[in-house]
Amino acid sequence: MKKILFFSFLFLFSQQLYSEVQISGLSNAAFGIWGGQGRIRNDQLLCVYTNPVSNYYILAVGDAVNNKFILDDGINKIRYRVFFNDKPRPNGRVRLYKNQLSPVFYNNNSCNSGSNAFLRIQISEKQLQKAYSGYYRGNLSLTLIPD
Amino acid sequence: MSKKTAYKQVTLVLLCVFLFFFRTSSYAANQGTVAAASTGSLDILVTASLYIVLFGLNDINLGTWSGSGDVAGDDVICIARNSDTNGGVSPNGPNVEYAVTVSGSGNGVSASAFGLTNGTDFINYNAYYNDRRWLGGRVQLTSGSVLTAQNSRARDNYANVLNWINNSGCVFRTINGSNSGPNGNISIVVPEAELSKAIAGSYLGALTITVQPL
Repeated sequence: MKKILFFSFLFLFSQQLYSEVQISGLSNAAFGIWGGQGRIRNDQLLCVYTNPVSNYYILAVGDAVNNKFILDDGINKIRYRVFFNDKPRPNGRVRLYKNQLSPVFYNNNSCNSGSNAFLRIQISEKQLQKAYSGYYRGNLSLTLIPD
Repeated sequence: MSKKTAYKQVTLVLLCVFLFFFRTSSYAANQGTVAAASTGSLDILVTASLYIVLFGLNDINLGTWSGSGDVAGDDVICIARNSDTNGGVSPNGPNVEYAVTVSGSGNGVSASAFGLTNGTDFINYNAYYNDRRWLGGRVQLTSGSVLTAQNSRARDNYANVLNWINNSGCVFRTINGSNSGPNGNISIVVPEAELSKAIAGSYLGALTITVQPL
């Protein structure tokens, strides 16, 4: 236990000394009322900043069942998917799972055009069709961890 | 295991614990702050309403009247409805009810009456609806009036029913040992009294059927 605490402290302390990072540009995914057909998705352009420039991981945390993210209305659940890309576009996106560190992402550290990363939240038509009527919500946290 | 890998694993555990206890409250996206590791969060909100779909409508061709008796025809249809509770999935579940409203194309007196026309003359007919695929138990309709308490008798969830209908059409299938598929019937009867006074010709009419989840 002492060893774990020591390593944790050492790691966080050393990261604090030598690295600072920030993820920004997040906004809520308020889908409103599903129209009864088709999947729904919310795309966001994010800014990932690391100093010094380094590659990074993303850790996604939210309510989930079997590592699949869920929304709930207090009783029933809808599964949704989270994708991330280290470029501000959907092509090349990687699916994220709850509490699992993403593959390493490459960072060009440039948000000059406002963004350098991409987030997609998607609910399939099948999930929405299976859902009982209700107001479903959930919270998703993304943590940026330098490599 | 390298030290770097060990650091990452320990950090991951600590972060998970931290995020579990300190997840941000709803209704606001939070940007990450500049730190050794930066966490931002957002809310995801969606409303699923009640949905219903009517499938499998076909024209009803009554043929040529023989000169005596009523003329009748019907069409079996499929109603798929999602539910507001888990009870809607089971057979005869209480939460798969819907209302149906049927209107005709007019009889020269009322624009929505159940009537057939050859362009000039009209023949009145009676329309019926049943929330089963057969005729027994059907209810005579008044054009434009809402018929409530119809039951789709879902034996599967809405998604699977839609999938089946889209792939195979409004046809029979077996779910958990029970027949499923067509679960409604629209039927019409043209009374002999109407036919006997009609001018010879080909008559055509339209029915508009609206279903609504309750």
